[in-house]
Amino acid sequence: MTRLDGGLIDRSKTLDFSFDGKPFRGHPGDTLASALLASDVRLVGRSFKYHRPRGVYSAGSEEPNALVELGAGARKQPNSRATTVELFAGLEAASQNRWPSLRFDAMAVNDLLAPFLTAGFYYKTFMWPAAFWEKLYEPAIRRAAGLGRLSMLPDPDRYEKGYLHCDLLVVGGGPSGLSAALAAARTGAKVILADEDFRLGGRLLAETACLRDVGTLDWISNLENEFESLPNLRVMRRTTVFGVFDHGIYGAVERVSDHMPAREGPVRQALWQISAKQAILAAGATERPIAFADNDRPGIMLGGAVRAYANRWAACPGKRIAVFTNNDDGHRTALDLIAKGVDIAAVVDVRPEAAALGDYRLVAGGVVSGTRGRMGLSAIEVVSGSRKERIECDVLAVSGGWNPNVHLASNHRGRPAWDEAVQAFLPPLDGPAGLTAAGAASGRFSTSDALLSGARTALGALDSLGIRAAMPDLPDAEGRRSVPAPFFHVPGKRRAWVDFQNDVTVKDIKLAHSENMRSVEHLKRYTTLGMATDQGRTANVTGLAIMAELGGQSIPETGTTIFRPPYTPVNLSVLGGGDTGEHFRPRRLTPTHRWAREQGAVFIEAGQWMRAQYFPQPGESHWRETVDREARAVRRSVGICDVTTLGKIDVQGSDAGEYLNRIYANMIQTLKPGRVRYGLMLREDGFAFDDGTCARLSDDHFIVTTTTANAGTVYRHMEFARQCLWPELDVQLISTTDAWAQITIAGPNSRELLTRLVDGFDLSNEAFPFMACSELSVCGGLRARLFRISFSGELAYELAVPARYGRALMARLMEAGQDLGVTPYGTEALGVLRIEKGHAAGAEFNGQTSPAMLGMDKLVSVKKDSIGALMSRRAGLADERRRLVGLQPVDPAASVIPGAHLFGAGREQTLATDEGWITSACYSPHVGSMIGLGFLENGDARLGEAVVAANPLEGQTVSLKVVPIHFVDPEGGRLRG
Amino acid sequence: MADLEADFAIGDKSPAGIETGLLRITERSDMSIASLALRKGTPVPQPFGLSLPGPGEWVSEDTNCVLWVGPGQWFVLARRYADEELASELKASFPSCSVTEQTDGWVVIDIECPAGDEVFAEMLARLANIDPDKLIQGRCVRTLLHHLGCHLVRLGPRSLRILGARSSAGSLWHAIETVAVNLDCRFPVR
Repeated sequence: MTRLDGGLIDRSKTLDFSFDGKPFRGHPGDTLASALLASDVRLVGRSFKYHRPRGVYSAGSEEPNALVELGAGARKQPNSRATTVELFAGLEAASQNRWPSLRFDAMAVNDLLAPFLTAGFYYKTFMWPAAFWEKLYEPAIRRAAGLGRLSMLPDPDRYEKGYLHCDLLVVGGGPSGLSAALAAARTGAKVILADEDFRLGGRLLAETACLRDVGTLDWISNLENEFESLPNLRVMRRTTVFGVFDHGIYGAVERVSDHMPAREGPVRQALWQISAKQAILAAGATERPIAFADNDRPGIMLGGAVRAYANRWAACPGKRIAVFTNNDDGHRTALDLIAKGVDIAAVVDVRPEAAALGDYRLVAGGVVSGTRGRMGLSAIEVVSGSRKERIECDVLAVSGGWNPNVHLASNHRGRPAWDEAVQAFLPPLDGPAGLTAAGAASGRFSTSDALLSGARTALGALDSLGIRAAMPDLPDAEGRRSVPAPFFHVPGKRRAWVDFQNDVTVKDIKLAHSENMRSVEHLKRYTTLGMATDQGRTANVTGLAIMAELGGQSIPETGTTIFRPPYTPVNLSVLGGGDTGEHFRPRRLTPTHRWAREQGAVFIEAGQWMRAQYFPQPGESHWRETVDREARAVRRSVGICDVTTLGKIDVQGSDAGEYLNRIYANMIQTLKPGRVRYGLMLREDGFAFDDGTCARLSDDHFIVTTTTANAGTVYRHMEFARQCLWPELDVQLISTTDAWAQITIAGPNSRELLTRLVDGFDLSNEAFPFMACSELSVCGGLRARLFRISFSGELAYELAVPARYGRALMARLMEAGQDLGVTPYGTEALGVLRIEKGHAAGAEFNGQTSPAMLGMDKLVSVKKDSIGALMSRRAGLADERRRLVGLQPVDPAASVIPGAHLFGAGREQTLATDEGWITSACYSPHVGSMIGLGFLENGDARLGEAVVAANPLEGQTVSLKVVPIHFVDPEGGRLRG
Repeated sequence: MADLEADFAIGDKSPAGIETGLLRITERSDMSIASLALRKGTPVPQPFGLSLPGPGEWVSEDTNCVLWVGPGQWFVLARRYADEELASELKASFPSCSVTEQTDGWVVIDIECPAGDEVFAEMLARLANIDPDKLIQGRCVRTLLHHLGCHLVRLGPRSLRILGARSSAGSLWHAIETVAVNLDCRFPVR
């Protein structure tokens, strides 16, 4: 156990946890990484490609190496960064991407094969045979190289989503974020302060002597107290703002109970969509490494991380620590560690002019040229001028300068700009509107600059909203500005890692460059630099600098890299917001849903609706048996079916008739009150849009019905026409789809059945003929609407009652029609009946069919104008010769398959000779074979001809006879009877 | 009176209702709804003596209220005094307006949040993308609530009325119930 004094851990409590099955102890305040380091665990993982031993590298969300699996079973969470996992009692962690164990990983043989596994090796190697790629090569490569594994079980945790609104969003709770939030919140403006850490303070927590006249922790604590008292400020700890989206919307994930044992909080994570008028990017900076030979051994870490572990977590990663730096920050690491009593082996500074800032050995103008230690660092090789020496140490703290965390600022494709003065990429000037960077994220690295820039940026952001803010009193803080020397890697022949997570070395970059992969984007794809869970947080800039060097160009000349969301990995579960299974999306249920369920109906999704597909009876072993029975029952006696899902639009107003005349292709204005007319709507381009019925209840009141699928689009289309095309018309629309339960009563006995329910209403053919409609009452006074319309071709009615009575009405119809053999039927039988009758439906109204194709060109009135009428007569569409026909197999046992294409008998079957396709098909109990509807070239003139339906997908060819579309009652005597 | 039994949009034998530590959620089966739209050149009506509210607003008198739902269109909500009579009564009072019965098209859910303003805001944050400071008392909005088109009516400082489509009432109730449960977990009653 290597614990130092101090630190922000609660030593009064211990937390037991395990790593790879071994028990360990830590304290509240620890991360998994700090607790492992304090327990002298250095080897925590294996690298992606070469399976090299790896240790903790950083102290934050940029971690490329220390990826572990957390939890077990369905809760197993792969690729968790040990550096951000808040320790809790009972935490189970395991290393990943190794076999059989972390220490003895058989796949480490890859490291010996490294000369063959260079950048782009698989593009070059696995060329032949092509068929092997998916079946053999890719799976083998994926097994050999990889990260964690998913549990493959459903996620048992609970997630939530929500929306927040604020004047100012501050991303990051370090010095600049804290001062920004303070300045803004004091004005009373609505402010959200979000930080990915579980503790506010950012780098203040990891450094010493940042503030001069006040203790850092005291200042933060006072601030937190003030924050607590401000109701207009929402502080969101453990919250990562992972992306900037359009219109000032920021995506954030709050880890609600990830840090709690056994998921004490039932909500694991929350997805927040934050609408911010202004935002400040105070995300700080990430230290960048310097690449040198064998720089990936456990024990080699970022200098700022070593400092953070010592200062914040009182965890010393080793006994004897060396520092390799190109700037003063490395010296700061040495000073902090010396103050903690840690042995400093040497500070190796690439700058010849560097001076020691304390009592430690300095190798000025030196570089680390190599390292030793199989499972962890044991020594470094240092070259200084002509002198080469070996320095024993178990930790090397590397400081190559700091990269501002510009990621969010480039989410809208703004390109970060290189700033020579601070030797770093700064946020782009054309970043997301309303987002301004402050503090280290804007290249202001000293605490003093960060505090000031945070508050000033907040003042500016609020000023743009017309809110005046005052500069808060800020503590006197250190103002060190350390500009790193432009030194990114130590030249050499051995492998020097740039991207630790993807095992990309300087050599790989050189190879990519020599193979002409010179654009930064090509470099990324060729070498995988910057990919996977860390997205190159510690690698991208170094990779770019090496590219620049290779090309003899400056960094800005070489290019820049931009970032997409998410900033850090986000669980798919939380993006789903907690909706899973049957609640994944909303469902619409018909008023008779419960009744149908009680009857054992099988349901089918129709858009959001759940509709009864068919009602199996005992003894029926196949759905076709059920559907045939239902269809026969309708033709023989009476059947009932819930058709509530059809769209119903209430149209009123003194110009309602004129309005509908313009909406429908056929004449509506002449429709008399109490009558219904079939109506065809066209799109502006003249293609068929939707069909349905239009009922006129009174002079100024119509009911338009639409198909289920188009209910929403037709309503929108009608509103558009009303509000935008013809605002001069006096028309009012409102949807009443949900208000009415509508039930079809179809079959020769439908009148008889209905007679038993209506309150003294004359249903005789004379009083209520085909296409009549009326308001009436049923079942002893229930207001209802009755339409005598037929989809099945039988004598039929549609009865509408207020939705809340739908279930009871269905039950009453069943009860009243028992002696008639009344049969409920679902959408399958509905489909059979309409195909038998030759009625077009969704498959025929597919957006590519014209009125003429549907045989409805005569419906398009030439006596008036209507939407699409003119365009339906344009040359291109009028020349269309495919027509809707009925199709019947020559061999009654043969199948008719929708989607099959039609060809002339004996003709070649190519695209050029294609003569149409089958739109709908079913088994017709009435005909005794399968039947179909389809569009056929000159179909109306080819009745009686034999054509071929080709179904190349299943290798079928069927001979079909072209017949009229009406398989049942072509004269229409039944529905008028 | 019809001899058929009416169903509730959500509840089985009685209107649905749940009470959590923080919220009281009730399915209102006693509300009648009718839409009222102005025809061109006709006098502006005053249902229940109420002036028609402007966009995003609602007004009330006793237990009756009128909310703006679209250009030239309002919903009139009234305690159901007799089955189905609201629309016909409105039509009789304002014959030059277009009136449509809407009672069965919607489910009305009232949520009361005695736990305080903060919890109310937290609840709203989880229901819809609406700024609680904008949806103040006297205002209403048509918006999406968990993918469902709804009218949200700010009845009082700590009470909200939701009008959702009847066919998806089950999904709406599930969404609200889930938010209630999650709130209970996030803000345990002390």
